[in-house]
Amino acid sequence: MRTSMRSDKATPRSDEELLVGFARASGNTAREALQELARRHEHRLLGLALGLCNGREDLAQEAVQETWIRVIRHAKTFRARSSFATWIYRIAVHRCRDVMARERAVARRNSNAATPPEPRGLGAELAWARGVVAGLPQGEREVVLLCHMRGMTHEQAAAVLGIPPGTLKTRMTRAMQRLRRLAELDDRAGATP
Amino acid sequence: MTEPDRDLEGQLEHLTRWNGGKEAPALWRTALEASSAPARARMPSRVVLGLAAMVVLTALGAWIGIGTLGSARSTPVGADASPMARGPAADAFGQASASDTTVRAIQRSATIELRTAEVRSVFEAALALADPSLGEYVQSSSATEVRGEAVLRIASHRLDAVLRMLRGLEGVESVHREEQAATDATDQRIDLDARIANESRIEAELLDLVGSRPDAPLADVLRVREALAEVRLNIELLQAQRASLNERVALATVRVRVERVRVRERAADDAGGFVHDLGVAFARGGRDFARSITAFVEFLVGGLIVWVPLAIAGFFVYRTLRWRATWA
Repeated sequence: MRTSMRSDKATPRSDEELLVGFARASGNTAREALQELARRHEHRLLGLALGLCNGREDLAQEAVQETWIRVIRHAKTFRARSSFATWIYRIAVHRCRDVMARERAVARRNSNAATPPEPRGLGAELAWARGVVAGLPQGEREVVLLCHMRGMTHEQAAAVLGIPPGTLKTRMTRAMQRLRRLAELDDRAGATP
Repeated sequence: MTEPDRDLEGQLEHLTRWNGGKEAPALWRTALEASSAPARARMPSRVVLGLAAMVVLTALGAWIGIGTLGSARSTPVGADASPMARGPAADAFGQASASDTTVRAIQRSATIELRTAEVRSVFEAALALADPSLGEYVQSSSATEVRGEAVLRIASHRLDAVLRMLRGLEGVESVHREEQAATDATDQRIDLDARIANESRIEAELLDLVGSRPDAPLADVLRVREALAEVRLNIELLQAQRASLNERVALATVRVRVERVRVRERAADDAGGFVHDLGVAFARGGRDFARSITAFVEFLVGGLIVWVPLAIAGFFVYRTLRWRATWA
């Protein structure tokens, strides 16, 4: 009996259980469940959003905050047809698309305004990589960033984007070829005096 | 994997790191506070409420006015007139029906045809516009190397935004065709509501009857129960129809067709002016010719009820005249 009690305490609750707990409970219990979900995912969500928003921290935070708002609003309607992680990453990808579309529209309207500041403290290599990835079409950019997230498998990335794994791999191959070509061009340009 | 490849992979992994391990800013907390903020934060101002009330009253007034025009012109427009317009079923449940009629039920749909050199990527980007978190989904899709077709179900309020996004998708060269349609299903909904209310009233009466006569003969009880089962079935059918209607109203249908740009078409576009105009003129001519043929066939078939008696009458007149000429 004691052993089983101890093991119950030791076993962490799954994401889905936490979400159900959040949807059903109220007050502190709900808050703790959400806090635990955030502890597990917020850091990675911010990383993904940062990549999708071309390194703009402000936009990434906006997208992630909107993601949490969606999660809170729709927690009761979560049907568990996919895992919680897939669901929340999918929402995050959609929110990043929206945020970037809004940003592009604003930029078009204020085409004379100054360009947004580069993220501070960014290494030259990282800035270069970010610039190259920003040059990819949207679909390929999302695939490249999701597939290179630590701990994200190709199957999970495909589920997040709602495309078959075969399509994901095709896009990934195409994107990597483009990136290599761009890298080579860049090297040649750098080598030319 | 070569050395530069490893470098590139390493850089890519860094792109999705939140400032190399910096503490996340706990955005969930802000989101939670925003979501659980008291309703007053989102409560519309008095001006908005006033305007909304005016719109509702105007719509209600217009509806009552239209309903009592013509034969009911002498009926005073007011409390006595509206139940007549709503029908007998609405009398008992008048309040519920009246509140629903003020909100129009519009089914929206759109068709968009895009031309592109990269069918696959544009088609996939179009499918990805359906946002599952809003209950949107891809109803059907099929794609080949040269063409892709899909039916998306999009939240009605997002229809315009989604069409805008479809037009602006990366790789889209031109929008070949775009159509939008809206159907007003308000009457259908009012009718369904009235029928549900009527059936519910009958069900309540039957239940009262069963409850008030415990000593009734078994045959009578069975007959009432049979009637009850029939009424319940009707109610459930009507409720299913109402749910289906609501779903059609909540989600707009977007038919997306993505086609590869034909080389000839592109050349014609590039050539511009005369060649393009000539093609358009030929296409229009063909379409008008087809319309004329259709109209002629409709005229012949639709008029059969007139043509047949005329032909018979003509035949008899001809025979009579010929007979007279023979015997004259």
